Amino acid sequence: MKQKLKIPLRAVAFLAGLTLLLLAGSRLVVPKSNLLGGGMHNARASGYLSEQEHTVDILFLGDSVTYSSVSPMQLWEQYGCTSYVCSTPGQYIEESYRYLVDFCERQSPSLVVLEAGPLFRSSGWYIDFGRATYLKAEKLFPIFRYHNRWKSLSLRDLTGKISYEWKNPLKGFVPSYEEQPWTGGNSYMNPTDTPRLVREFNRFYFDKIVRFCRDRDIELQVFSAPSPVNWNYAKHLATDRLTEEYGIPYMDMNLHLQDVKIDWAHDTRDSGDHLNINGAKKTTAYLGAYLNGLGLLTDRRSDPAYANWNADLTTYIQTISRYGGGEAQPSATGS
Amino acid sequence: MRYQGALFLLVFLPLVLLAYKLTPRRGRWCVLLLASYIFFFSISGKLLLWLILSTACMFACGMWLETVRRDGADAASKLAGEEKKAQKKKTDRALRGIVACGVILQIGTLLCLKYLGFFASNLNILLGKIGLGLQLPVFRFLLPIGISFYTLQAVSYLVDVYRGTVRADRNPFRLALYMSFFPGLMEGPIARYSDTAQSLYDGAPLTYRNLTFGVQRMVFGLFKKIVIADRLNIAVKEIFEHYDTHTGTVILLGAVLYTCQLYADFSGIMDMGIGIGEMFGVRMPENFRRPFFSKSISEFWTRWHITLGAWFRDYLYYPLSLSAPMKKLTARCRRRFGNRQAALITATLSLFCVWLCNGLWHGAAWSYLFFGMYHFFFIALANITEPLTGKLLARLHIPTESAPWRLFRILRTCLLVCIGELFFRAATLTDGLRMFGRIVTDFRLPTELSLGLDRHDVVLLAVAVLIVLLVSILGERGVDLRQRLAEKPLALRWGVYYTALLAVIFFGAYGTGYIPVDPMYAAF
Repeated sequence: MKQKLKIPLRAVAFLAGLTLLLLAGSRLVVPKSNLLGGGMHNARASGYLSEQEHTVDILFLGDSVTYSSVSPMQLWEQYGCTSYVCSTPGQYIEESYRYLVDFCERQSPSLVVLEAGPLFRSSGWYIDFGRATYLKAEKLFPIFRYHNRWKSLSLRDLTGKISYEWKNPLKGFVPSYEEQPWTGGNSYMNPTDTPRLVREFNRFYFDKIVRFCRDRDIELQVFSAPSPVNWNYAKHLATDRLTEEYGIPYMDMNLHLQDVKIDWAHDTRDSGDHLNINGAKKTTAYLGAYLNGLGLLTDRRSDPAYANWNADLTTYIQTISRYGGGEAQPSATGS
Repeated sequence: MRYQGALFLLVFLPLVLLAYKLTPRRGRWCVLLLASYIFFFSISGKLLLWLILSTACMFACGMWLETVRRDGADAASKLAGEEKKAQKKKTDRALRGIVACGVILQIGTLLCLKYLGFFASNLNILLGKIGLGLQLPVFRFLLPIGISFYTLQAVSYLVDVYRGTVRADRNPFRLALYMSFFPGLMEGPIARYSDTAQSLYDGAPLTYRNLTFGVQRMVFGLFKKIVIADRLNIAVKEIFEHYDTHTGTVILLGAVLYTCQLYADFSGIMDMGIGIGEMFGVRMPENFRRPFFSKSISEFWTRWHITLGAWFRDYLYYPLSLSAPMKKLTARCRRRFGNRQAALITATLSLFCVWLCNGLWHGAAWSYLFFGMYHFFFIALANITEPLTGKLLARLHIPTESAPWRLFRILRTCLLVCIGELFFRAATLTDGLRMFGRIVTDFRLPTELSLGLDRHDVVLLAVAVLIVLLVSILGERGVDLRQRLAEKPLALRWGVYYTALLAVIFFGAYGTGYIPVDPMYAAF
């Protein structure tokens, strides 16, 4: 009997030792600061880490279309609501879910606004599944994400003190002043009867997002920002049917381009792929009015606890006015 | 799914091990078959049908061969004298016909899927040059993963059944496992039915030794693949994709780095595959035996991709050399040039066919054909000049077994191999020739060199390559490192395991900032 138990016990002991080593390694390599130079991935989207806990009411999730179209500081200026854009280039739906979970560890949002692009992003079921597995492993052991930081380890990494000092005055928004017109018109939204396929894997994660929000009494809103390159009616139809199935409100700005006042000659930075600052101002204004109309925005401007948002607004205005062209980049010092 | 991916290592493999453990011994091979088909489907999807067709054809031909042989033997046993001889001849003819059918079906499928487009497009160029208005349609098919490997396995099985060295398998599903066993599916090794089939069906229990030895080998393979090969890929890509901006010396460095990358990648995946096989008690053939210690190109090919070389030797070189036309030619040459020259001529002719096929096997492109001919040239040259070299060395009093001479031969072989790999990696044959042209004409050292690697990467690569070199030197001296490690105290063993695992996790070129590199030979 003893002999029989020896091997399983040894295996458990070995794996326990490995787990401890992975945790210690993770502790060592995890960035101790959220500055770009600190090694944090997607520092822009992770800027919420330095926000005061439980002060951000709205979370925006999605891909580059989202961070090009939604400016949280404009929403603050116009409606006094606090929000953050946790969107990353080519975000997959499981990454949206991961950001949602991570965000809710520090914040208590009342509203999550999901841009529909990630619903259609897939690289094939086994690659998607592999990525989700890797994401899970990264969450458990950040060493899998930050292992490459062995190149820049310092004494600070040994002491293990983490402080997220960089505040993102743009709150995840990425403005661009480039202008490259889209000349294809609005024909990309010509109606069709055939919806685009939402893969089972993506439905699974969408379902997880819905359940996560429902369990925490968080309102969920799905929207689509104007993007002729990334969007079409088939995707609209699929999103519409999916959200209807779950009873979740969905708003597609691509169907209201005249109301949004999008001018494809001046409002896009890369021929219809992403909006520039002109387009972003219009979509944010439209989205703000829509959400306000639904009674989902809470005005915090008179609350002294949120005074720092006014200070951030001043920095935001200075920041976006400083960049006369190109894409505004947060520097290593966070300015 | 990739062998080095999170899904395979953290989900698929543990689940297969668990299912294998929980299944009674008699049914374990079914678990392996199911796992192999899932693995195949995850990469090639519906192209799995090609594998099933290939297996079905192989099974049918094998059974047919067995039946014809048995019936022929029965009929012959009832006859005597000339009639018996005639019956035997008839049976042999029928067997030859069946095996030819089977081989043509297998190789024909490979030719159609892999080479039809290449042949058609080159024929169109030719037809255009001679002024014919005819243009053939150029078809490009999606290739199922591992088709070049499993096709050779199927052919070896059929020929072995024909030769009577193995009995035809009566169970098509067991044969399907031999064709698709997942650790060798992407890149081989090209297993022989007689070597691996039994251990596949045995359902050996998961023992402590098998698991630890298997994991050791797998981690070492992972180290080679993601610490060395995938990191080297950054520099190799830069040099080969922008060779026109680099000097000849940098291009030569690129050829050396690519050779290291290819070795680390291919042998790393082999180590992983063989290690995984070992966990299930399946012995898969070795594919590498420290090739960079070879003293000649022909020795190199007995140490690099061993199973491919052995396949070509057993199923192409020998049958060709022993074929009736070749025997006739040998006899003619013998009369005209003498024994040695006659043997040399026929051996060179057979070698030419082998290397033509070897080059083509790697891919449908002129650069691969050139790669094959390049190696043929040096092997044939060595064979032809062997007596002359021997005399010259004796005249110069160079002891052939001395260490400096051996080192010179090793370095010379390495250089020739690196140049060959340059053509292998170049986007086209023209690019390869241009790169080679630069190597021999532009000897400038670069004033500054940025190949996408920082100094940390360079130091890490140097240390990692040294570790692999050290392990190779010990292997060359006959030291069984794994056995030695197994004899050490537990604390030391675990220390080594933890260090190796953490080295892979810390220093692997994976995750954000790195483009995943698929196993390189999987593309062939």
